[in-house]
Amino acid sequence: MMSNPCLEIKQVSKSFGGLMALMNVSVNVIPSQIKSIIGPNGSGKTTLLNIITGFVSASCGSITYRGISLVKKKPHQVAMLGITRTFQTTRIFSNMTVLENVMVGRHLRSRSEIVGAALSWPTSLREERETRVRAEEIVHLMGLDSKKEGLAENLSFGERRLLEIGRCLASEPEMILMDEPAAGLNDMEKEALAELILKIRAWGITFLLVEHNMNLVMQISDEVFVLNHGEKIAEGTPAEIRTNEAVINAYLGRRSSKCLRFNR
Amino acid sequence: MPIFILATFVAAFPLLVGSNYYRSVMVFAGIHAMVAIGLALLLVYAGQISLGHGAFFGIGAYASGILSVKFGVNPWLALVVGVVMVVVVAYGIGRPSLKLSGHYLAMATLGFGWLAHIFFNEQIGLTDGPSGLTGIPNLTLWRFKLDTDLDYYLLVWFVFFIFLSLSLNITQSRVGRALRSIHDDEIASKSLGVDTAKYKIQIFVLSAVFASVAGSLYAHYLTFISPSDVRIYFSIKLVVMVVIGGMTNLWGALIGAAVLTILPEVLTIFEDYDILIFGGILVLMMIFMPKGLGAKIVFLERLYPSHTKKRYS
Repeated sequence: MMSNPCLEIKQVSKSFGGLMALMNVSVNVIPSQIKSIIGPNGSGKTTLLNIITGFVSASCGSITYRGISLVKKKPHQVAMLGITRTFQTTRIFSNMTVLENVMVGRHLRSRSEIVGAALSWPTSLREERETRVRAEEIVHLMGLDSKKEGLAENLSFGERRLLEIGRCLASEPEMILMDEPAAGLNDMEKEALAELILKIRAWGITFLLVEHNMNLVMQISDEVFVLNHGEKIAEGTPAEIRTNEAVINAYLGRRSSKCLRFNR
Repeated sequence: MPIFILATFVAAFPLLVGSNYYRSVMVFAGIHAMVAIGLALLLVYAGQISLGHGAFFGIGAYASGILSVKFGVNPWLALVVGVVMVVVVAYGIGRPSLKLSGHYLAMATLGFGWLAHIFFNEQIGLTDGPSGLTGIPNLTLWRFKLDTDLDYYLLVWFVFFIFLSLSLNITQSRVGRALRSIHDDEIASKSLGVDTAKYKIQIFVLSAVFASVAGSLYAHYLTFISPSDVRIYFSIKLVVMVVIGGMTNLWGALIGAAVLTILPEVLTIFEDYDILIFGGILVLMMIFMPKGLGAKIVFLERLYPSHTKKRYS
């Protein structure tokens, strides 16, 4: 925990009309770390992810990535800094083939623009071949070789998740944000997902996960951050979180009737 | 492969058909196909609708007409000036409108089309108003005056092939993929670093330029342009060409343009009932070929997969 954080979120608040979705939330993420955000439904986890990636703007507070402010950055500009994400409900390009989906992921790693493309300049064609080769490597890595020419809409749910992760990897990100990656997966797929995340982390990629599945979170996270009603209630290693009084009260059980009422 | 079949057909047509009337119909088909190809890039690939492309066609046509008739500008230069004007206007219109989507984008571009039509009608000093602008000079190439149907047939289809190859190249590139990703899921597209606003405006402007060039050629061919040539109905007809052709690829737009240009001519033998039968055919097509005529081309490619492996080509 000595190394400097790459992503620094300071005192971020967000209100939707009268509803405070986030209140003075501060989080740091260290390079090559797997950090998880947990919390009951409606506690502001996805909002925080959307704020980091530029889809929602914070009401106040600062977010910096490697010293560069992410506030007011558009989503594609955040992606250009090497931060990419997956979505709670998978967002694949269903009318494109599996390979093409991954090739879109290579967008940031290629240059050719409309004029070069229209005239089929040699640089543009060469880049296109490179893009295809790199995308095929990723498809192979994800184990989707046999489906690569098929439309992405024909993939099973678990395969779509893999494709979404593969698409992120294709952009060679420094950091991947995942919104409930384990949702809807069976136990075997969850196990494979955990292995995959650890494998990708070993390449030096940083993870920020929003996740409901406690087993997965406790198994792979280096640090866990707990939100409740838009406020941070705890932060620490999985072992610390497991025994944290506030977390147990708010999230894991006890005084359940009150929780249920508030967490709707 | 389909491009060679098409080129052969286009080259053979004037040799087989001597009638100036049929050649003239084919000139209009080529002009419509030019606009439809651009509109297909916008509609089929980027997934953005425009009910204002008749107006870009009109700006091109009127720029050519007004400049060459009233200011004695060389017709080719007038065409280029028309293109420049359309780039500026399309950028100005597209920048705010393309933030909208679906019905709202349709309404915004429809409104623009309407405004342009009113402008052509009311600016009598410039456009000669509802009666139309007459006496637009023919184009010349070196010392040759292009004044026969065959001349324009060759010119229009030559330009069409340039536009078609540029468009096909775009669809098979990084930019084409970015456009399709915007169509499928704009949010996911942004998250992967695609500057969606930039690509939408680029393709909007490009398709407007195709329409402008087509409009200029139209004006110099007919030597006449009137506001009723570019009314809203024309914009809608252009969209129908793309839809009838099928929302699958650019070839559909070409077929749609050909069908919607030739069919009304054929149906004139039914005299007063032509519109009725035309409407009926459109309804039947949408019922029995909901994926459009272009889907048939894809079907042919599946039969002969060696020609191309790409679904969008």
